[in-house]
Amino acid sequence: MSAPDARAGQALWRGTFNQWHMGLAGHINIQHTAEAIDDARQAFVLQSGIDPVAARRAGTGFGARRMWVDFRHELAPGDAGHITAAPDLASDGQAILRGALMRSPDDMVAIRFETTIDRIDLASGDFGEALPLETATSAAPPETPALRPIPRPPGPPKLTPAMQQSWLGTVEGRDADGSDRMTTRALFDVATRGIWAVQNVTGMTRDRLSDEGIGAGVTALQVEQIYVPAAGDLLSAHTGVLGMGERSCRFRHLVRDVASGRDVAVVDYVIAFFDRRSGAGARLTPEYRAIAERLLIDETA
Amino acid sequence: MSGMTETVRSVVRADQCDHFGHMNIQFYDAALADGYFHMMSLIGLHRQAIIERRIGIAATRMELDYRRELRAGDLYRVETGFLTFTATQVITAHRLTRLNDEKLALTARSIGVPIDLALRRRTDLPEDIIESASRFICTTEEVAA
Repeated sequence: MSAPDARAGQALWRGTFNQWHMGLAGHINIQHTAEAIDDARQAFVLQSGIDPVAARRAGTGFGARRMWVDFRHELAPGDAGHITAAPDLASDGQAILRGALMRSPDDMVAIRFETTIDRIDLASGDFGEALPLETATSAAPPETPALRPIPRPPGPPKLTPAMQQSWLGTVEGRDADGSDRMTTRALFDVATRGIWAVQNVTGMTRDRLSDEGIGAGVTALQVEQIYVPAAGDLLSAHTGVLGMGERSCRFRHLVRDVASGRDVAVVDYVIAFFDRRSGAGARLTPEYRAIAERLLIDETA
Repeated sequence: MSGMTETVRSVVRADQCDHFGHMNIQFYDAALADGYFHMMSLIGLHRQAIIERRIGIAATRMELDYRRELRAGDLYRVETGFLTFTATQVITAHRLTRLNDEKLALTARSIGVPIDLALRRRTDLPEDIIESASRFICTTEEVAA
């Protein structure tokens, strides 16, 4: 009966970003794009022939052990968008769902992403086997190339002396899904709070960004989640610097359960600076570099 | 005339559910508001156009018929169309479908009037917007089908 729009029916998510989705940086915060990707993931599970609600009742949820996101353009309150995605292989050969969040109706690609889809044992929060992605049939083909991963130090992530605590808090009820497990949005919320804590340490406070007309944004982010915490768990984030470029800096958050000391997730991300008036990239100042160098992660430490 | 189109596809979150165990009514309205803004984008009143043309549409009346409950984790789709779209009045129709079983969960109808966002007064909708919206004109029968 419907769908005069050729794109209708192909989307895995469709919605609008609102004023209350805006973050301190003046654009739609990453946690809300993560939420849209999470919705797309659940829709893909349904398209694969699995009812996620019935699966949840039987004790199985669906999430992502690994997720890569490239942020291409800022989104603002009032922007409408949709996600299309399809199964593919990541640059390392891993089966992933690759897609893009496009602004409606001009189809500007705002975000590109890759996500694994993994079963979650809702009783323990542990990841189980991945969803066989080839079983889904109805998603639109992605029009995006494979994402380039953020370079990472070899070996398992560890808490090193240079990393400083950037967040401490509890998984609240609003951070959890219907099974009391922490949502992807809430994990990205932790990442955001950690980002601002470090921004303040490096002198890039919100006031300074505003006064000097400097824009700052996450341009790439990758998450490796080890398990999914539950509502009530106390978590911490420690943050260090992985490396610096001319106009950007690579950071790592290590999110841990405070009580057990178990790693929850590793979030690597790139922050880039730009001139708000011209839109051109802004170089890291010597002061910023000096502070960031003190946070450099030394994996041999 | 070509009818309604999809404007929202999302999942019910646990924090949208009340102590009755289903999505609270305020979030149905939130989904419809999102669908409405999405439709505004499709007819040319996207964010940048609203900044430049200073035209908005304010709701003056809304009717919602709740047919089935939505629970945490349920996927849903909102389709939106116009029963009327003239220079002075817009009557919008929505249908919300629970995707897990493709059952109709809600139908809604809202009446809106165009406003000048600078003067905060009633205004007329321009011809190009009316022409663009004509692609989404639907019937009452379509909404409830």
